[in-house]
Amino acid sequence: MEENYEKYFADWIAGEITAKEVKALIPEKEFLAFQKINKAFDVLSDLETPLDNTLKEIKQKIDAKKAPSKTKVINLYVKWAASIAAVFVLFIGINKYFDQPEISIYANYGKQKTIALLDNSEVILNANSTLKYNKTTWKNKRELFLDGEAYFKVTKGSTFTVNTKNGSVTVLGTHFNVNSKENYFNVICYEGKVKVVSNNKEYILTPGKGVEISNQQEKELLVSSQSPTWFKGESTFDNVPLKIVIDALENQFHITFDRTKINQSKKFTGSFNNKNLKIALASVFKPMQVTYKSVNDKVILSE
Amino acid sequence: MDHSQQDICKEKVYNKVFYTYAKDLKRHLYFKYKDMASAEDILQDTFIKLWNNCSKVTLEKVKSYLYTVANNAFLDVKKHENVVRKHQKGFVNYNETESPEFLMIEEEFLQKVERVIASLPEKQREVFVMSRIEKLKYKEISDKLGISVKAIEKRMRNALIVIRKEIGNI
Repeated sequence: MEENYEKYFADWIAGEITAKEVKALIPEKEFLAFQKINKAFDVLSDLETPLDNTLKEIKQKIDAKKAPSKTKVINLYVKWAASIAAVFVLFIGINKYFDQPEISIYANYGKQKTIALLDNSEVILNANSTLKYNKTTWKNKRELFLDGEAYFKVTKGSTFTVNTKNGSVTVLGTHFNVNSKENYFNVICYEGKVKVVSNNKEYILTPGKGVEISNQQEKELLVSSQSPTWFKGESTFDNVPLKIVIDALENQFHITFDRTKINQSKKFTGSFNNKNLKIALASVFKPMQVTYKSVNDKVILSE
Repeated sequence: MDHSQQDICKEKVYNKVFYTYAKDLKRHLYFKYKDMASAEDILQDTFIKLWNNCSKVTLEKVKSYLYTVANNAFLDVKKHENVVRKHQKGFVNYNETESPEFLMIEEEFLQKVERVIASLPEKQREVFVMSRIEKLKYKEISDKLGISVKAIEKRMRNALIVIRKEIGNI
């Protein structure tokens, strides 16, 4: 029986028999199979088509964006006027002057900030971190930009995306932590399910699972606590380069370290207290056998 | 080092980058967004962004840049929702067209079809690819290969039978 079906497929593609006629002769499942295979041919054809036309269209669009000189003059005028006005309204913030819907939230050194988003999702921002989102487009697309560290409790609804310089995190109603700094990206899922995209790679995280990407190396994490330690007053690190830990100390206590005399790539496992600098310094540097001395405004580290 | 050959703001270099990465990127986008129109849109937007940022991207990092931009692109939400809705309808309510616009093809299935086509006997594969992939008419193929239209029809038929058979259960 199977053999006949193959012949029908050939007849049908060649146009010797119509879809209606073929459908009457073969099971529905088989007809769907024909359609699917034929669709695959079309997709392949589309993907194999030389992209000359695409490039042409791209260039047309680029040219179209170059405004004619008349408009250019007007734009320049507006910009100039704006910069004058900006001097006087600086304290309000440039955003408000242009009446932009972008909301920007910043947690200061040593502080955490809890905010509620328009959809009742909650975000706890860690020290020295910035969160931005557009309140107008929020309804249609829940998307934010994060620089630093934040813990998210996302309400059920449309896809929720956090974009950072290092990658993006997409979720559907859940709790998770994102830490994005220079060359360091760490995401931990505490509840629900989370998708992380970074450097063309995708990771799906379920509760207790995390991923850490530092200097092009990825590590999968398993976490047993129910929520990040930093909002309980402690910052925890698991086999992380000392540089990251020192950065975190700087953010938490608003101090500067002189690191020129030490090897910052040594790995540190442990935690420090967020409220007490003296204890924090001891917890980090004693096990690493680094001496620290406070001189003027800086803490000088040496081995 | 001749810097002009590394400068993406030079049209020649930009073109080369395009032809190097566009095809794979489009394929990646097709499977991500599940429709060709969105893939094409985002592909174009991504390369436009590359042009606008050409002085900030080095040749070394351009691949990473392209994929990051493409993966984070703003999908035209309404357009895409429309496509998704039609996918869902497609399986409940198939019609008589040979290739329903909103039928979804998974990456594994596409790779299977590609493998099967690649393993066809040379004569059949040649004709099949020219006809179904390059979309040439039988007359054009006949002129190109120097064989009769009837011979082409026969090879196509055999190719299709083998393909259907090799793909087996779906």
